[in-house]
Amino acid sequence: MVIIMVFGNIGQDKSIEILKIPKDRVGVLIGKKGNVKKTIEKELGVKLEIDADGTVTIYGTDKQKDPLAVWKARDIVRAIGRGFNPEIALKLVSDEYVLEVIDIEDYASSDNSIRRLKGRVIGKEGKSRRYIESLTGANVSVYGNTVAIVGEHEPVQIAKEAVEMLLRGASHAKTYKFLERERQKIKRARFELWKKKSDVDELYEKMNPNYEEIEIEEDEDEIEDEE
Amino acid sequence: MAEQKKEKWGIVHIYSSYNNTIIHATDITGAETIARVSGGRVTRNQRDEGSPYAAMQAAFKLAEVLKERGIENIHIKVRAPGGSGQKNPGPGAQAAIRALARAGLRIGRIEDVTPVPHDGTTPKKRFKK
Repeated sequence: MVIIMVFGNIGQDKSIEILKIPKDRVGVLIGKKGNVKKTIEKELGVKLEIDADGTVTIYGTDKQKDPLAVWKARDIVRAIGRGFNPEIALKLVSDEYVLEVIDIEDYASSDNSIRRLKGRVIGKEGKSRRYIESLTGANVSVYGNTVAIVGEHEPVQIAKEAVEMLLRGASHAKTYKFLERERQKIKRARFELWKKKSDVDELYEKMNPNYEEIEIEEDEDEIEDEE
Repeated sequence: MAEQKKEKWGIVHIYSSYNNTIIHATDITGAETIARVSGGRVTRNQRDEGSPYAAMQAAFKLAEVLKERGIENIHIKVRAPGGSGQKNPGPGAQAAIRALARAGLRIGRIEDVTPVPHDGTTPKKRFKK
């Protein structure tokens, strides 16, 4: 039986995401002469609509090469809205990078407490935040009432744990010790990782007889259609 | 329009936490299960159940079953535990979606349906203020 492509369906498949970012971050999202917005649209093949009040609508288009494009675009916009500069936010285009947002209001309710906890995370002259960043390799941003983290999956989890320790009142010394310990674990884990990669290749070979002929770039995947 | 009916759509529900990934395929109503694969079925180590690699393998297995049943178009609903717990889908979610796309299934809408508490229950200690 031959399956016939019905093109009228395509419009229904496209995703739409709507989210809000702070007003003062709208300028950053658009960038000089619209550069940042254009880069996001070009990298992911989506279309952005940005209003002055901070409402961002993301449309999927036919050009998108990745089924997750709209999702990633949403994360990038959220990251910029939470204080990251566009250069860091655009790392989220890659599969390996994730965004985590911690709401400080979950840990305190009064304005004074929130301000105090923010101070704990940032540290004197930013020392605490910088320490977390350098030991985990993830990027940390404190903005408004949130702490946002961008990086590879495992470092992000560690950084998140560290931030939560600080928000719960653990001492800085204890937190730093935790980070040191986890750093050792990561190094060991990375050593083991290269063994698994060959397994992944094997798996792809099973799924696709032509796998060896396909050139896959590091950050891009080709979507194959086996109809 | 007669041709349009030949296309079969399904829904793939992906439950993704840090500890496990469950990929569940149903018909378009969501009421009838076609297949379900979890991270624990494809990996030997319990600690790897939630890993992107396990999610990828599970997705490939599920894709095989779906093709046998003649379903080649899917919508995806992703969720994290939500409620008092983790609110962002874990590492398996992206890996699973990509694997489904790579296996040749055509992807329709991707939705995040993580449950949101309307004041909910008391969080576990590590999520608590």
